[in-house]
Amino acid sequence: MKLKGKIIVTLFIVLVGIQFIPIQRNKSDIVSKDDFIRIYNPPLSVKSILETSCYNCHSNNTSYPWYSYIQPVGMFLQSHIDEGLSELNFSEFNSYSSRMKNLKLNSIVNQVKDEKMPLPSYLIIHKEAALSKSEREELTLYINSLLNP
Amino acid sequence: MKKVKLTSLMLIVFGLSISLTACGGSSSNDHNSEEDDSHNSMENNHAETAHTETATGESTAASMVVNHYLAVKNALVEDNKDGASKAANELVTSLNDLSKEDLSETERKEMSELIEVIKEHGEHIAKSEIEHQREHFAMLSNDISDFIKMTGFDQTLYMQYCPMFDGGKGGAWLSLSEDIKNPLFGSRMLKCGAVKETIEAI
Repeated sequence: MKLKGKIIVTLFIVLVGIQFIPIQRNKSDIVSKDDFIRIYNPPLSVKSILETSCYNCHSNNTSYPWYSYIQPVGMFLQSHIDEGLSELNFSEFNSYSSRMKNLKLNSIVNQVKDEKMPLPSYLIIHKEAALSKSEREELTLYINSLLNP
Repeated sequence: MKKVKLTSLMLIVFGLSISLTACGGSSSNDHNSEEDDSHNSMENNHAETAHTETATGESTAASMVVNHYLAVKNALVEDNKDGASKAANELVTSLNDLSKEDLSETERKEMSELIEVIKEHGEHIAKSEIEHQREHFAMLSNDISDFIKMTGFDQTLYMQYCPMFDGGKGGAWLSLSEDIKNPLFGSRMLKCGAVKETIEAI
């Protein structure tokens, strides 16, 4: 019984302690000059899909939910965002070479079509980011149209 | 004492024979022997020129990139995810040996961009499931084909094309043999495809 008490107290201290670990947040109020939407000016419906379902992890501006301020949930989220950004950053899109742009565009189409993106684990909480079949088609059709032959 | 020596000698011989068979594992398949042989000869060339650092050495570094690409292709033909992953890692490493010294400024930029995307495809192939490996391999094939246009390759290559890949979008790959062995489908549709272009050896 005494041991159990000690464990609970330790856990409590750790949980409180990790709330104070600073996290580098991915938030910028400036729309970058290389931003995908700014450069390509997609139709409104595509723009809205990108903003709702992609930009949270794949741009320099994440809108953080309240629970992201609670650790270790926030750390888990941040690691996902960092990984997403390293693969594709819409805010920096125009800085990619045209060959790299083609690679990214092709990969976007594949990932969206295969329903690998938005991440199923992300959709559990972010229901609003889920894409319907027609939205997937609209997005992939548009992205395909940007490919250089 | 003598017995111990003898036993360890036998163990070494045994070990060697295993590693040798492991290396030559695929050469028993007749379709691979052609490409394996050429791969070996490339490696020999590399060994010969490695010390001299001449222009031939550079062209060999470029051929090694193509050879590793072909190894990825062969693994995918056999539905071998781990083999593709290993070859893709070697492909990524081999990019470091390329020198851009003899290129003009525009060529250098183009080469840097090519290396960048080949690296990214290689990294993805190295860490992914086979379906995703194939998606990247199809894209990689186009970039490797552009790479060869710049560097040349000392053997004739065949650009082959299967119209059924990616839901009818089609996909291409390069092979040393005219025979169709489809890396985009593997055993599911090994024979789908046709030679689209012959790239002569330079």
